[in-house]
Amino acid sequence: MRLETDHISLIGEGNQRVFQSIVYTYSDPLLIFSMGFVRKREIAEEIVSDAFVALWNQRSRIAEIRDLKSYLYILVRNGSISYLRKASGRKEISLENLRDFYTLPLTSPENDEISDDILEQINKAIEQLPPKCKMVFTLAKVQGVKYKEISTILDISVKTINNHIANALVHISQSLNGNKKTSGTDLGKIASVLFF
Amino acid sequence: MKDTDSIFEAYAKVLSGECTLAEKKELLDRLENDPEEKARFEQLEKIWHSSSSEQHSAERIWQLTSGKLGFRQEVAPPKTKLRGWWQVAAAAVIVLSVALNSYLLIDGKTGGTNDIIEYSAKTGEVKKIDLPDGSSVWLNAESTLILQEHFGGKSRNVYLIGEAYFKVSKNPEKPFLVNTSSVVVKVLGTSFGVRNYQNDPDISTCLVEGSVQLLNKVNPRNSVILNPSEEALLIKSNGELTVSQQPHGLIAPWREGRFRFHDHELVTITHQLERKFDCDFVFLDEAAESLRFTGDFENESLDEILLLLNKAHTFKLKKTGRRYIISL
Repeated sequence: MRLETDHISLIGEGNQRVFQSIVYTYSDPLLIFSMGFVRKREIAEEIVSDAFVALWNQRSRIAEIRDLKSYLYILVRNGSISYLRKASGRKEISLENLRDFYTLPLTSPENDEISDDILEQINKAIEQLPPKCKMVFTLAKVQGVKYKEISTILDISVKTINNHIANALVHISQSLNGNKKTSGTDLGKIASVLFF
Repeated sequence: MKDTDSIFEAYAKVLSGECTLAEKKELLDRLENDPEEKARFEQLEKIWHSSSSEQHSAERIWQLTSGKLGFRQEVAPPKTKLRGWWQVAAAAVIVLSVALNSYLLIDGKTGGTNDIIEYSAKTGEVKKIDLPDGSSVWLNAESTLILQEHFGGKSRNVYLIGEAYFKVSKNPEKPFLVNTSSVVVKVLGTSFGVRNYQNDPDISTCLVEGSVQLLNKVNPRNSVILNPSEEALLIKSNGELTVSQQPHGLIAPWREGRFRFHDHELVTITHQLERKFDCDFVFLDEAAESLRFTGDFENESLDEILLLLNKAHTFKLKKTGRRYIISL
């Protein structure tokens, strides 16, 4: 979804109502993204609102922002990582070496096509994926963010993004059909496939 | 192993909507010959379309944000109820609410409530809405109408995605404006139909009586005034606008549950069927997309309609679940 230049320039002129619509549009997806890093909802809410505050404070230069959505995601990404650094006292934490990424469990669709047992299996399989894979999966599947935007937000190639999704699917499918328990070595294999 | 990898890469592309038509066709072809693989894909497809729990955080985050910025809390939150914003349709609605908000602002922010109301008709549904100014609107399936609760400002602004038929009460002081992505229809009081679905290449406006003014947003110099029983078609991609006589009597026959088309391409007809019957069509040949049909249906089922179309022009039709695959 793309906001028309008109609306962006209205924020630039200090239009609070248009700004509010942007906050309403992006709050949920940004919150889910931030919770992936920090897990706690209250903290994620602070980080997301800080991102909007930063956007408002930079409104005089808003015309230079070419992709508002990716821009907000990057603000939230940076805010979340810097919170993790402060909270853990480990300065080396970055997008590349996150310990984990929290994903919201999938819920059954309205028509109840997936049983609770299966759903639990799927959620378990997703939980076991490497952090970055979960991050890409959350962005692409749960939030419907386009590959090109994910590429900007996470600074990885479109090809790598598709590999992440493919591997998430392999893993989910194996957990449902393969009968074989996904072991640590399987995960290692997936992780190694992911990064070339 | 290599083979497995490549098919999962194809799944990823198709499910996330990043594939080309050719890639989609290649995958579907491959699955046709491999029932086991097909079952696996359908399972993943189901999982992909399941959702996660919703957050409803907007109000809280707006409070936090406006508090930090020291805004006065006078702006009422948009009233739109949005379920799963990431679903394309809902996303479009939000962009349009944003757009409408700015319209209202430009239009001259009078006092009173500024609440935004959203009406939607689901797949297979037709809804009649009575507006506060005495006008009536019929919403066709998978359509959304957004407006300000009390029509404040100098004009009566509504925003339409999808298809609607308007019966606008006369008020020369306050023109009625139907806003769409590419065209604005301006009337003082009359009846007309507008079709503006996102997956259609064009926007249609049909007039019953009186006159309407069509402002072309893509190509402003190419704007027109429409006379009774004329239809204006605007090609979204280039702003080209053509006006023709309506060949048949009733405008917006869908209001009475009828499904009628005159010399339409099969791809447009299948879009209509998807909205009416909650099904999904995939074309394997571009030539099949542009087969042309004329028809008039009333109570026929989806399968009956397809059978009759197939009698007029032969094409191959394969059904799997709710999906129909069409080829020549």
